Amino acid sequence: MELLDKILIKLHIRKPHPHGRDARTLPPPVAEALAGEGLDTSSLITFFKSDMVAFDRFGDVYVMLDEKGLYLAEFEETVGPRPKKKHGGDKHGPAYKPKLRQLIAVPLEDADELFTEKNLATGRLTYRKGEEYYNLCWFSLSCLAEADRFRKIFTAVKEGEPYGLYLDEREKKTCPKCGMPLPPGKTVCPKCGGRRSTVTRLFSFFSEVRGKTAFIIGCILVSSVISIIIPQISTRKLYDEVLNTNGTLGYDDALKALLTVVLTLAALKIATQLFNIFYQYVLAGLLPHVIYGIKLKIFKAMQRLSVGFYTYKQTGSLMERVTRDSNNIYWFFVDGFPYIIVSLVTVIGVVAVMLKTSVKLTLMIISAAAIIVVLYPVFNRIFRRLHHKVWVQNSRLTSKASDNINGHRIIKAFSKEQEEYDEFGDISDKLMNTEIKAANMEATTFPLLSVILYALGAAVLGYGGVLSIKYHELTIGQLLTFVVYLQMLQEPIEFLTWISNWWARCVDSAQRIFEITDTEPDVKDVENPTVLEEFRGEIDMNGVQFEYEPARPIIRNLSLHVNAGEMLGIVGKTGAGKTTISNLIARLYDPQEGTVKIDGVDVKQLASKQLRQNIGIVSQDIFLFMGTIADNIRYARPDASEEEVIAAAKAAAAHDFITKLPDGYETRVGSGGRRLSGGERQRISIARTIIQNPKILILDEATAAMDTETERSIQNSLTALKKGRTTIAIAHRLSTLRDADKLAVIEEGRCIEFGTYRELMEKQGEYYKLFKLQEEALAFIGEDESAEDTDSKEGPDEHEHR
Amino acid sequence: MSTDKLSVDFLDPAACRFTVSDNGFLLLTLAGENRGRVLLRRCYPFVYEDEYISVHDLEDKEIGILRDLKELDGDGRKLAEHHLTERYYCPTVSSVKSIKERMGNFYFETVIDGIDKNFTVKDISRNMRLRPDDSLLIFDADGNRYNIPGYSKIDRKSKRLLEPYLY
Repeated sequence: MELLDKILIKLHIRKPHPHGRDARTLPPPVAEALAGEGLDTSSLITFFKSDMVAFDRFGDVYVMLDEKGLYLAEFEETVGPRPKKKHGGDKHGPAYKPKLRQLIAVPLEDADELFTEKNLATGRLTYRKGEEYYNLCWFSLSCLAEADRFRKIFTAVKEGEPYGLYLDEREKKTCPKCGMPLPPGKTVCPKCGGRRSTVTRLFSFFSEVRGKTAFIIGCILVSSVISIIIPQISTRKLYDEVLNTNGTLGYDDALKALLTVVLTLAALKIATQLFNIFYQYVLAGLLPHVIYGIKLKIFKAMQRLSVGFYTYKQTGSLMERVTRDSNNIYWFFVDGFPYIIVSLVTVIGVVAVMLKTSVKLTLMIISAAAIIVVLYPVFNRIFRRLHHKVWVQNSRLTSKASDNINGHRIIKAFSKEQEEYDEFGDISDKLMNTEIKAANMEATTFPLLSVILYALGAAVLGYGGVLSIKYHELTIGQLLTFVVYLQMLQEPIEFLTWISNWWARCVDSAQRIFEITDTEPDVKDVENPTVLEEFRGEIDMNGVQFEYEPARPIIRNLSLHVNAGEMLGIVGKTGAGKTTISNLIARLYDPQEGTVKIDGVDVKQLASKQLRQNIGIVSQDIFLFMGTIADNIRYARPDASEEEVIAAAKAAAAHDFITKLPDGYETRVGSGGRRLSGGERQRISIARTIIQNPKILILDEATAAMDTETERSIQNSLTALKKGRTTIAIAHRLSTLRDADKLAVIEEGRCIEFGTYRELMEKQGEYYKLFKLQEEALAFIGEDESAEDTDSKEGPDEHEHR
Repeated sequence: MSTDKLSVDFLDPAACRFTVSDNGFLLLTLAGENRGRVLLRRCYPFVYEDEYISVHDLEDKEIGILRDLKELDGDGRKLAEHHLTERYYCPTVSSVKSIKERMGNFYFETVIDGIDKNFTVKDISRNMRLRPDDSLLIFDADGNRYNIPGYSKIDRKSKRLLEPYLY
């Protein structure tokens, strides 16, 4: 059985567990301690480990649930170093012997409801019995998601509902390899996405070009070996066999020997440069190809990922992965990798040659090199810290400048120029001081290092001189060759002492890239998705529950039905969950509970391509891509003809303003393009949706940011767009929903009222209140909505009778 | 509009009576009316810990704002202060043993109340904030926050590890 488990873990396959499966993950020593107190952990439904024993004290507390009640087991704090995990055994190791401090049981009938409460840096589970509240446990926010999942299971058990879904949810959020919870929004375990596998994968990028890579390495090796031979000719041979022969050579022989040395040197230098040119030429062609592949992989993965992923990642950090991280890899392989080979070959080769010449002097040089090896990392660390400080102050200055430029109108309006100038001055002052400190440090440290190095060189020369003159162990040529070799060693040793940091940065970049390419999208197609023959657009939401983050439900048990071709108006306060409903219909997110069906089929079973092609969204966040107006209009259907583009723009009331632009439909918009007003941009986005011809249209506060006049002109475009489609219209301004067949009032994620306009007005509930409030507000600001109100009172009736 | 017209109707401290239930939850009786369990929030949690305290009911709707806890009667004040200590508890880091970077995440090994505590910080320069009162706040990837009350007095090793990441 254990072998099977291991194989499944190795294959990253999650094993289906029977009832009480959570109990299996309870650490055996904990289960034993609990068994000692008479608690049978095999029947536990679920548990979670809280990390706090009181609101201000960390410690291990296991909170458990079975069909009889809730249990709280508090253990003595685990103090001291954590035992090392060996050979994939129990991660708590043999040293983990938790001592049970207390075990508290709360019978299920004594807890009516469980609540998750969030404080500043902690949270707690409380339960209610009748009117009384009781504290169950405290935890840090790291346990919030687990605690809330526990609460949901408790509620399901209490109400006799199935709870398997939540157990699955827990499994998805833990690493199948080590069992540790995954960080929010991640599907790759930071612990198991190991450095070794990253390196292997990083080099696998070069597998397609392994021939060229081998050629490059070969060239570098040959060039490095030649570089080691050169001092033997340029120094030893020149001094010992040409210049310092004590007149044993005649003029002709000396000239011949000199010519040989010079020509050999020239040939070797040319050969080195040729090999260098060869490898650099091949590398220059190879690396952009590899980096292009990496960038393409990241971008492809980003397109595949669901909207949820982007909520956890900042745009800046994602942009960095495409650009900076791939560039980090690029520069490491362009500048770093060849030099690693050169340095290694130089160090090994030079030391070998020196050992052959004089063991004593070599040992002395190695001792000197050891001093460099020790000194350099120390200075490197100091400089890195200083440079980081400069970088941080610089970022602060840049942020301040950018803040100032973006907010220049507000600054001027509040007459805060002087204050802004003073603040900028303060930051600038700090940056200057940090830079001066770094520069002073560099100015004093490097000469000091040079002095140390020169002193070492002088010591070698002195000791070598003694060996040469007194003991005749070395020739002058050999001694001078040693000095040259010593200089040759300095740079590679320096390089090898800090290359590890560069390499670590490169591996980190690769890990960040793999994190994206390895992440599985939350929303993905099933294996054989259903493709509807006819997409009609009937929407049915049943018992939908959804939350973006733990313990903060946005949609709660929501059920709605919209017939194909009907219009549903959704109203509610800001933050009620209206936009989330449209996101769930478009399957930008999947609900945690309940179903969203279109034409009777769960959206999870539908092919996402067909679904998205048939859902058009017009929201107040209008995004125009870089390109022409025509490109933007035909974004959903690139094959749309020029005539279709014009027809769509006309239907969206955009044609008039577009033709008045000097470049007409070829006006460039988006980043760096022409600035259009909000109304103009919205009309382009409506034209884009018209050309898409979706069966379901979602209008999410499409005119919220517009003035009344623009809104009215856009409403006409929207009316044209709504014809023959199922429409979900979300609006604050109730008059814009006058054509709706049904209206839903949403409050805190629940549908509190549903019906036709007349039904809701007669009911005199929330919708009625909102309507009256808005009527009064509009009357106060002097907006003439009476005509629309009359329309809205009559409009829905006509629909009813149709 | 001149600024002197802007004012807040603070709760009358004399009308507020804070008590605590048998299970340790804060209760409020306001002008003789039992408002049940309440939650307190600091409007200025850093600068005015005991002033401008917003009182919320269990539905999380604000009942009103207390100008200063000192204006409450002795017992009520103590209970309110304890409730705020509980709500605003922030672990105090006594020393930092190591900070290691991996995949853009910074893994902290620290000591809190004599216990080893590890946590992960993302985007480190933005999630470590040195405040004018010499305290250092660290926010981890799970939303937890940790405090070092006297940064200048912390041991040399901890300071050496933290310093490069501070603004």
